[in-house]
Amino acid sequence: MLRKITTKLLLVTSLSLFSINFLLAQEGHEAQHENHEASAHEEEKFDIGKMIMHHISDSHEWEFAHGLTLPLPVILYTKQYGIEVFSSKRFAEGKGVYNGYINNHEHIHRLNPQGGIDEEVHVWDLSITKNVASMLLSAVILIVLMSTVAKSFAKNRGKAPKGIQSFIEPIIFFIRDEVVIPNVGPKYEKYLPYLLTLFFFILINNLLGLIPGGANLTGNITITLFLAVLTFFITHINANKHYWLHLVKPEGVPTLMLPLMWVVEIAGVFMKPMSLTIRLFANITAGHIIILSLLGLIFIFQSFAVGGVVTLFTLFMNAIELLVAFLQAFIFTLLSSMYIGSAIEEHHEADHGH
Amino acid sequence: MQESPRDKQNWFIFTQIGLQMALTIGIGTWAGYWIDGKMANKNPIATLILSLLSIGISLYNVIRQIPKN
Repeated sequence: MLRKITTKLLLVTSLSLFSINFLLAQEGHEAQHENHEASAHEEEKFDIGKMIMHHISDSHEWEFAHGLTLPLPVILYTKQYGIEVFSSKRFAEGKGVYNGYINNHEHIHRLNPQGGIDEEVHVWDLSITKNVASMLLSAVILIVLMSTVAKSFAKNRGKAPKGIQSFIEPIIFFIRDEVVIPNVGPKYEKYLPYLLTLFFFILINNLLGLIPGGANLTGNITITLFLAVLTFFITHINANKHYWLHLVKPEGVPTLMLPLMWVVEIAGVFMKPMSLTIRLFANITAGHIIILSLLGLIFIFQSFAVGGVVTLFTLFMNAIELLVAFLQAFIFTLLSSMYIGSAIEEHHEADHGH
Repeated sequence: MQESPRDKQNWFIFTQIGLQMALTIGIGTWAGYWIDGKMANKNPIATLILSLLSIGISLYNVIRQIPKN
């Protein structure tokens, strides 16, 4: 009896607490809403959404800070007007218009004589944008870094590693011994260069993206999609008979069910690169958005107290993003090697691991 | 045998499953929605069929990836 009453009492308390909580939350929300509306009416000076989107998306010029902009080459091709190369500074000077082209939110269109956008002309934009420039930079960094490491590895063979080699070499061996060999299997040597390149490319670009003013390269879905498609092709070009047979005719499936199984298997095959794409893209973009919104709070509240707290939070988030930069590169490499391994493994064990 | 490190890392595949399920269902439903829009259907038949089918496919994919023991 006592127990029953206690239970009921607890239930009532928890429910009422819950509702109070809910009420408070709602009130707070409404208050916040009103505040927001009021401030929106007063001034439209700082738009945090616009600021964040500007930072995480690609652009034709590289803006490090306000007033400190690196102009990048704009390369356009149209069937009617041919190739056109000029600096993105021209767009800045002409308020987004130059030589009959308009830069409309980083999409370049041709203008017609009336001054509107000419839909007839398709502009192929081959510009060296911020992301392309950042990727070229990362390629240079990777080549210099890795050739230095390779040289000093050859020189110090059998001896203790020296300099930058002592930082990179353990990572390379970790990827080889803990990720590639267990997952790809005995034929790992063929795929090791690709997987190591993948790891260091993603890692370097994640880290470059964390530098203030850096480009958000691995948070660009085109890049991650391309990396996933590379893994997809390497997996399927090298896939052996068992893998294909498993796709076309899984064991123990009645003939009548086969067409349905094909749909299921094909969906599964394409979902793997899709999930690789989305994971890297979403993780990196989310990290950038979190840091930028935290920093945006300073501009919204404009108070020292908030500034201090936000700085600590941003520092903390940056530390986590450093971890995420390594983790996402590792996960991408690990999953790629798992997919490759499952496609090339000899058929001696029961179906698992793909 | 080289099977032991492989089994050790097998759990890792399960972190994939949630995202894969969400993607399969999302893309299936979106495709159905798109077809309905294109064909100007009065009842959203394609959305219904494709969303349910994609749920089935995603469930099958989960079950298939679980080791058999």
